[in-house]
Amino acid sequence: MHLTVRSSSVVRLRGCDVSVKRSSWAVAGAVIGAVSALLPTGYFDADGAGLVGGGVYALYGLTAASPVVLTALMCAEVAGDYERGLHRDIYLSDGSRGALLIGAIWASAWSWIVLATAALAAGALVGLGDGLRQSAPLGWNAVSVERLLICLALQGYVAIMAVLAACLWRRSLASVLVLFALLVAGIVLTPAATAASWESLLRVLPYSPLVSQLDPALLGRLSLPTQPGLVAGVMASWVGVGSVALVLRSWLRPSPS
Amino acid sequence: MWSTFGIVVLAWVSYTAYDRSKGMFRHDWASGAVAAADVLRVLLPILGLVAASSWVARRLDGNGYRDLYLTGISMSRFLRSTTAQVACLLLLIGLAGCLLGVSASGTIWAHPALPLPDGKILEFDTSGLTPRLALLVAVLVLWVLLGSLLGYMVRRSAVATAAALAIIFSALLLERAATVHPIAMWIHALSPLGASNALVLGQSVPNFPRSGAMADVGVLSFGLWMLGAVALLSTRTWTSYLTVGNPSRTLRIRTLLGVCTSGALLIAGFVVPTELGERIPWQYKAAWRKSVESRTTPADAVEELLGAIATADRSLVRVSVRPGNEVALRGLQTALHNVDSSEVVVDNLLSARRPGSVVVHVGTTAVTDIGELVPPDQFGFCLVRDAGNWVVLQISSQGLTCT
Repeated sequence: MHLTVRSSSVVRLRGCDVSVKRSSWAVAGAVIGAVSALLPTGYFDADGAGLVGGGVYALYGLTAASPVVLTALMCAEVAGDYERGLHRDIYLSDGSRGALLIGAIWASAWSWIVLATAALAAGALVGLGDGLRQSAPLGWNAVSVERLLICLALQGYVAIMAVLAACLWRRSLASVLVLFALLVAGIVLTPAATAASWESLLRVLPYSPLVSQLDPALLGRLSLPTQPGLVAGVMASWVGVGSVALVLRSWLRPSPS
Repeated sequence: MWSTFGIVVLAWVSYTAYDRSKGMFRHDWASGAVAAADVLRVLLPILGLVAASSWVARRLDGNGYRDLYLTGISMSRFLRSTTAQVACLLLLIGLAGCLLGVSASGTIWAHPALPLPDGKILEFDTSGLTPRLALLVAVLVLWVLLGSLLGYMVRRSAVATAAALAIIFSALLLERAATVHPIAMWIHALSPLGASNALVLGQSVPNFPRSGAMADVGVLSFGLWMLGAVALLSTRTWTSYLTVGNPSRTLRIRTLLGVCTSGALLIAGFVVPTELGERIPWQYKAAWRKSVESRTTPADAVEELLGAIATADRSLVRVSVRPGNEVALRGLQTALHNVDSSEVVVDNLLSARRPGSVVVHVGTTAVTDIGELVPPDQFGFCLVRDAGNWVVLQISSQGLTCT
């Protein structure tokens, strides 16, 4: 089959898929955003969350959901291309595999953007309802630029890890399962770690940066307070390890599988 | 992958079969089987949900769906035939049987009959094994059905798997959070994992906190999940009939849906937070957070603590912390050392369940083994480290644990 695929056409290639799924992602995002904004407004904001505050809470909820949802999106698109043999076809047709990869990342990022927009809108609406009751419809109290940047950085980290895993294992299911196993390992180990002073080990697991940034009042025994420098170091190290593994893999097995 | 899974199960079963009170492994078939059944009770529903959703979705993924259509097999016939569900179920029950046998025999093989110190045979109650296995199969059937519905709804293998994992992940988080938050305890009883736990044993997963879920709530919850899945499916069919082939009508319907949803969200934001705040007793509410923020200096909090201690009989101050909370312990010891002349006794009792929290007991008699004060004329302080301050969470004349 003669095939030339570029990043834009990859998106168009799945145009029908994306348009069908877009409403599902929007509904899922609305649920995440609404729940994330409903729970904290009852407990944390005595003055009402407001439009902006609700959106901020929705962003927190999105960050908490990203290890599962964003990982699944990225793995399904990127590793799905390997599974469908698109990389081989492109290689045979002298096409650029990099462009295909970027196309797959863009397709999944687009789904995430739809989900995130719906979540932010739903969170803002819930926050507005809460703010109207307390006559503070806007609600800038919850906004902290630092926290927002941390949330975006964590989502970016999750996306990079998912792409690395998908390129390494090239099977969507295997990639999702491996990342999920790492995530659950953190949760299962937490009480044991606090009891047995393994906290230092727990802090260097791939998903510990996410756990460390969540509010102790929300997580209870799961909370894992960590120094910001260590968090950044752990994130950089895992991205580095993944990249090195990817380079080694392509060096040892250069032909497209 | 399956061999790794088997090793994990074996290790887990061995851990479950270890009798901590006697300091040795249970070493008969019955107890090995019960331990294995306890582990499978947790693992199999998870595996059932993931496998069923992923397999059904794979049948419908991409070309599979088209192939079904082209070969004249309609989707409803495919689902009515229930081949996928039955296959999933048989495979999983077979896997359960294999795992049960292998792990039970593995436990015995790894730890052959050890002589007990007093020479007696270890007694173990085997009466619970048969009902446990029966309920295990029932719960497995329900989870496989849920997984099939999920796979049918999502129709993409990786996304369906991730959705199944997300359900399990949120259920695990709920299990953990249920010890701290009453609201999580309520939701937990309705989550699929909590529901299946309630169905099997009427309690939580081994080594996980009890969340107080009841069997009837479990049945109700599973019914609701099934109903919700079927309702979602039928809604999708219904909306596809409404919107097919008419763009302007589709737009109108979507606008209407959008406006209704926005209105519902606004009303929910107006009503639900107040209801949540009033109806569910939880101490870490907005008012509490405000009071915490109002105490700005560490000296204020320590002074408050010591002032409170001074009002009680200071002949014995007992500080108990969770193992691993050495930082909290050192901080409080320093604070008490600077001002206090009373005797400070430090214990590593498991009474403070919040991270970074300590419990200070003031009284004339010793604390019991479980960290509670029995005599009524004594005081307990539950403190938590918050933004560099020691904050008194609770002061009580009764036995006190930080929850």
